[in-house]
Amino acid sequence: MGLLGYVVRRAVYSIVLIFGAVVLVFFLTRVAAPNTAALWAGPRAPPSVVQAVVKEYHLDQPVYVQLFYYLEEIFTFNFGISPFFKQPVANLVSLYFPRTLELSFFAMVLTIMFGIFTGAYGAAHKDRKGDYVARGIYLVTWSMPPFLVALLLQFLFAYQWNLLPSSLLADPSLSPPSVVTGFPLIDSLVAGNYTFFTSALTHLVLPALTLATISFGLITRITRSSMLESLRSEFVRTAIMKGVGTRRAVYIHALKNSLLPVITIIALTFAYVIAGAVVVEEIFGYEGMGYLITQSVYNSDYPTLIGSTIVIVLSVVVINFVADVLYAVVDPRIRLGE
Amino acid sequence: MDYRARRNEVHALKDVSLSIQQGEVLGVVGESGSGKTTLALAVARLLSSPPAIHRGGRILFGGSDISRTSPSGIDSLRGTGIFMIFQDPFLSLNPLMRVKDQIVEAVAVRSKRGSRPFDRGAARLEAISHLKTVRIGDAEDVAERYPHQISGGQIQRVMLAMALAERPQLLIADEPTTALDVTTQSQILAVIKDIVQQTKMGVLFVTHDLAVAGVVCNRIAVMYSGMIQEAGPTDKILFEPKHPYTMGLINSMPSKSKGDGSLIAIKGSYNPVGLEGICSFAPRCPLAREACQKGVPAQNPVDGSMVRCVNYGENYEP
Amino acid sequence: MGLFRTIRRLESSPAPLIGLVIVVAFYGWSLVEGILQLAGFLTNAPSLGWILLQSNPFTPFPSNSLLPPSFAHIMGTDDLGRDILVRILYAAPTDALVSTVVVGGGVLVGSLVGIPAGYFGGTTEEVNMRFTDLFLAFPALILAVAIEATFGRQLVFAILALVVVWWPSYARVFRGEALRIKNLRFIDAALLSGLSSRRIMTRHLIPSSLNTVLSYATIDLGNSILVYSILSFLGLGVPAPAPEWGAMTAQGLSYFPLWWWYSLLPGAVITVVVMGAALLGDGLRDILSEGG
Repeated sequence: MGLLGYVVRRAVYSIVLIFGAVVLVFFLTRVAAPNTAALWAGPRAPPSVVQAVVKEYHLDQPVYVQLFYYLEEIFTFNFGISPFFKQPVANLVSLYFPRTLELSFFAMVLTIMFGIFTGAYGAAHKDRKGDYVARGIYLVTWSMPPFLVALLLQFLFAYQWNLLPSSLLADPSLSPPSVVTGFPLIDSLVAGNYTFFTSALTHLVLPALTLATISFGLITRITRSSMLESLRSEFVRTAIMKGVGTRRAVYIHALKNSLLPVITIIALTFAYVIAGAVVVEEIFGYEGMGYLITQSVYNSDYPTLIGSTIVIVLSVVVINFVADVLYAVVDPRIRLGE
Repeated sequence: MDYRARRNEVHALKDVSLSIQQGEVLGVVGESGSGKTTLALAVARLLSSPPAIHRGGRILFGGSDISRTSPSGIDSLRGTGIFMIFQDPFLSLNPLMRVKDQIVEAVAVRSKRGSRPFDRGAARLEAISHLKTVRIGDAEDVAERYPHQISGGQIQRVMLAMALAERPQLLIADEPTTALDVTTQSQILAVIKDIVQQTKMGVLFVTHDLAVAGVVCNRIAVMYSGMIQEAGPTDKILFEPKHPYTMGLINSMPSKSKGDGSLIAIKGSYNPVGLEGICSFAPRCPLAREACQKGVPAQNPVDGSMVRCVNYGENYEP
Repeated sequence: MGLFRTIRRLESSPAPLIGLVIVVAFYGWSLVEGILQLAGFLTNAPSLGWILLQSNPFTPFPSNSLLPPSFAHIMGTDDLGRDILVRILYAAPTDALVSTVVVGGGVLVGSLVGIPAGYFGGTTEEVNMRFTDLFLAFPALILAVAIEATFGRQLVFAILALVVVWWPSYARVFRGEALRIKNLRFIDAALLSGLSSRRIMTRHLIPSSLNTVLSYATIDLGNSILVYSILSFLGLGVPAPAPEWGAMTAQGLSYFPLWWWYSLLPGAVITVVVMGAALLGDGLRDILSEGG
């Protein structure tokens, strides 16, 4: 069987999951929703527009016919026209999504690195000072609502110390590079526009830090408890008795085993980060998916909201799949089957 | 060496005095809770503190007291000085590393300490030769596997191969065959005997099974309630037991059954409450009398053995 | 493990005890204040709702606007001159209600889906858990936002939305517990003595798994308050002018950082309550796992 068989099975499962999620959204937004046509047409839409929406989404047809058209739309990435932005939702998503991915990437790297370090350090110093500090940090970051973290970081780094910009994607006086990949950092590098690159990078720091604190507590906790379990297990004692040194036994043998549960929550972390982006981007005026979602909520822009939701669910499933494969690569017990 | 439980302290080991020579296998036999595993972990310095407290006593290793050595000092002794094999084979190897890499790690430690150059290819060959020495048939194949792909008996052989790679002066084996079936158990015991002959390492062999100890050990110490009750050459312990507890253990061995299906069990079970200042076996002892309550019996030298029983002289610990 | 012994064990360590005090204070106050508000609503005398409070949480006092914290106004006042502490206290029952209903609903639905999955295995497990995975693919907050946008911005839909995103994690916990407990000896004994599957699940599996779920749910009480505060921060909580912790922080945003107390202090109160639940839940887990 081996790795390939496993990957194929997970891929099939992910595709089924995506299909299921998309159908679930269909029932929520087209069948269960009250006043479906008015909802999709947008607030204060004249009756003629509502009529057009009924035609466009085939709302006058039986449910299974609607579902068929709906699936066709979804899989051709046609999420309708935004009544607020007056342009196809797909265009909006392709503009905003890469920015959020860029932000999420930095947030995840930060949270995973610091989370694993803090959790492992705490476990290795269990019930001593280092452990209490680690537990204190994760407790506080776990308990703070992301908007409060954002506020404090803005207050300290932007207003108090004047170190970093408090909002926006980049300095508005700079002209952005032409869109190649959609990722502002990569595009500015491609264009050789280093001023814009630096500006975008410094604008990224505070929102990324805020997003990182959302799942920092979760990762620290899981690393700490699985590390404690590893440290108690006999293979770590074997390593210690082999004379490889306590440091190697702890940070190579025990830590590597403790990382398995952490890999399983990478997808969950991504879901947290993406959800957190809704508030964080709003506060920092960072124009990504979260910003798009809050704008669509404030302006009752239903097609944009649902289109964004579907794209986010797709990305969570894909990240889930990647994490599963990563897990199998690291753990021979899964890779090689029973 | 004391062991602290949640609210009250329990003396896990008291007045234990043992010595192991090069090439000698010393068996420590006792029921669960007798302190034998604590003894093994104490010698390996694997007791975590807290909860364990070292109240006094020395552990001499080649003349120096390792009970007070710094953690980094003890690290440099582990492996080539002292190595340990654990009870549950399925937990004792790193599940994410191939068997060969785990032995190669041991080879690397030894070459580093001997200031010899380390070569990965040579180390792998050495690992495989050790696997052959411990009589793993398809050594090349097993070396490439992960721990979850091999049997418990094979894992204990791998642990012994690691011991061969390290060549420690002292090997501690904590119930190494308890989790295995009888056939595998006797094969492993044979391998241990071979290794001792070949390398002259000293072995501290901890088991609850007198019969197993009888197969591999030169000398046996019988523990009860954290104290050594009787210690002597294997033949003396097995065939001329002096302490009532040792006699009880031997009588309860299935091979000693009278053939009518009955076993002679030691009555009652171990309960540490109320044993302060008396012979700790007295509540369960068929020969108990008033003298047993007067104090903790001291060790009496009898016929080449040491026996902690008032029936061989009413001497008590100060 | 009896309740008393659990509490006695809690007393021996400071962190869970602090959590206990915070949680009891929050829910105790919310119960009293909630009953008063309900009574006021039913008898058409809303002033009953702030009878215990220093001032009316709704009436503006323009002359008092944006006063910093002082003895008269411990947490200062907002842009309309209303006392922030009074508004925080008035809003507490909403968060208490949301957290208990969301976690309770999550536990209920999660157990109905998860326990049969773990106990029967096979097709039941496959169907129930794939269904659970489907909901887990949605980031909780985003699904909640979508549900509220679809059905309307009302408290009942906010709670419903949160239950919908909350139960899947409990389904997983209950399934894991059912799997673990199913293999314990005493279930075999119950089976041999002729108990039906349903009785085994209700009499044995549910009580035994509650130990694990209890600490998890306690931590989650705080977590649900946190997520609800984000919804209300985004304007998806109770409609204005009713006070709401997350919404108060959002309203104070435009007065930050000069009038920092307006947004910071409601946020700090959320943090303290969430932290209290986490401390208590962690302590419960340590104690219950020791006892088991």
